[in-house]
Amino acid sequence: MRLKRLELLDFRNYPRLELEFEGKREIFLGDNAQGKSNLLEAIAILARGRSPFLSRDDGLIRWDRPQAIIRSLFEKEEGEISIDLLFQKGGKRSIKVNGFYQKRVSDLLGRVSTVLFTCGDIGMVKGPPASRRAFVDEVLLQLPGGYSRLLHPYEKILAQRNQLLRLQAAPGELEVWDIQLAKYAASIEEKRLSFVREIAPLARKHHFLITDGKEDLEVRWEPSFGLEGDPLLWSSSFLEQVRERREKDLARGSTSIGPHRDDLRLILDGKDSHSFASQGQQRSIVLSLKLAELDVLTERIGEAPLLLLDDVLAELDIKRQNKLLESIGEEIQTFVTTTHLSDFTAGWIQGAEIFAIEQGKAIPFRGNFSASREG
Amino acid sequence: MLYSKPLARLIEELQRLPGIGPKSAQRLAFHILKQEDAFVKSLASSLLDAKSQIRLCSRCANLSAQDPCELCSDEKRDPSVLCVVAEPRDVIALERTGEFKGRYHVLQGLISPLDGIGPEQLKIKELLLQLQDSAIKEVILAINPTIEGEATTLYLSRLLKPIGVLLTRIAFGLPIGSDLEFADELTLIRALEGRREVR
Repeated sequence: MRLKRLELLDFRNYPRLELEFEGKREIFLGDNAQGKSNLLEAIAILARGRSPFLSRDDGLIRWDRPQAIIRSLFEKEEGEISIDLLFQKGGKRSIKVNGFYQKRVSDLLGRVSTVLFTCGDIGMVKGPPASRRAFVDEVLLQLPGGYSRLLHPYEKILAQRNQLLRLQAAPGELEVWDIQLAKYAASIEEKRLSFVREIAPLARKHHFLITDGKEDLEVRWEPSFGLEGDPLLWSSSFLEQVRERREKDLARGSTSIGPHRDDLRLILDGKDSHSFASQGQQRSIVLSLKLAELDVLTERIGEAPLLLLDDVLAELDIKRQNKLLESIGEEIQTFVTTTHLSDFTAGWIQGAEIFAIEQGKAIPFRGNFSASREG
Repeated sequence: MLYSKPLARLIEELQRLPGIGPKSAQRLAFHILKQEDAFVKSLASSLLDAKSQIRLCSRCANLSAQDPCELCSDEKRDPSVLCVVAEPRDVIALERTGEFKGRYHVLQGLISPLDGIGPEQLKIKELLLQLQDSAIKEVILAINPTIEGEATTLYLSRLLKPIGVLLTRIAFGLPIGSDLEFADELTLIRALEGRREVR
């Protein structure tokens, strides 16, 4: 799929912006704090219906304005598709696909997809488990299949249960929440596990190529509770385990097992990368995961997603930069933000469209880039 | 100062109402000022009257100026079926269908620890009192399928099962006039669970 047109109105720092894209390589060039990442965010929102960075929409709206609008036109194998989003102060949003209003965010999912790779992602290897869970959840939230209708109720039930724990409720009072917690926990685990099983061999393959066969990456989902046998039994087995832990949970004032305590283990040559991976290894691991994510989305959506690279080239050394740019197939439309063009190989920059971003404006940038590698 | 004192106070009070923001409050206030005195007096007295006369029915905990309420004292209602709902507005919704001929019980809320509402805050004692009436053969739980609604339903089902009365809950599934293709997964799962024999 390919983004042909993007229009922003009062989105972040853009009062009004219209961009047309002709090709498959788009570069947003500019100094820091000019709004380059906001453009990638807008594109990412078109695939998700919500920001990958913010939990509240209000931050997307330009200061002092009542609403923000993102309009877009995509080219897909099956034809063109337009997606228009409107965010109002106070959290109201409207979604239009091909001119028709859609009731829910879930009606938007699966139409277009993006893989977003930011410099912050590299911290996931050594970061807390939450940052690795977020990687898995982000992908699942983008796919059709109602993942948000599992995750958000789960979080709500968890908050209710934790409140009872803080109030030192009688263990019996927890029952009605534990039954619901178990139902959602089992469904969430099923989706997460099947995604990780799909991504693991692909990430291993990419990592093997990036490290020239020197390192072996194993990706494994580690649930915080026992998950054996038939997935149909997970709910009842989780319920048993959470019941057993009631006393313990009451003592600590929070729920000690469940999808909110899982981890994605990234194992390099048999050892957990969390404790020892070097800067370079962390970058290779995350790069492998992102390329694997690209493969999985292509498989599930049936068409290659857009790749959004937010300031990551500068984070990678020349060798990994080249690996990344090489692995991006011709069919993948790629959007890159950068502060200088020297990050790119001469070959890649040929045929790229460059936009100079300055204080909420984008100016098509023309010039001779053939010498940029040296300059 | 933007408004003179009495107007500012009116806007402020209106803003406390649910769903009323500063803009709507201002519009309502200006509208009220434009009306005839008689209308404003009648509005004010209707607020006071409703507040002073409407009470919870001692049997079903619904809102009424009468005790027992109109529905509880209506001899034509079927005393063998009791429908349990969360809010008085749910009674209105069900009454509008004209299909249900039994009696009601209003819980006046749902269990939600985050809002400080446990079973003791709901009208559950009153429900148990109603159920001492041996005429009641069936209890229908008509509670929204939200997280809090499910918790309340689970709680009630555990509490009421031992009483030995027939306990049912309303069906969940596809809305009338909708399309299977566009239904979300959870709704479809519920619809499948709640399937029934074609007669």
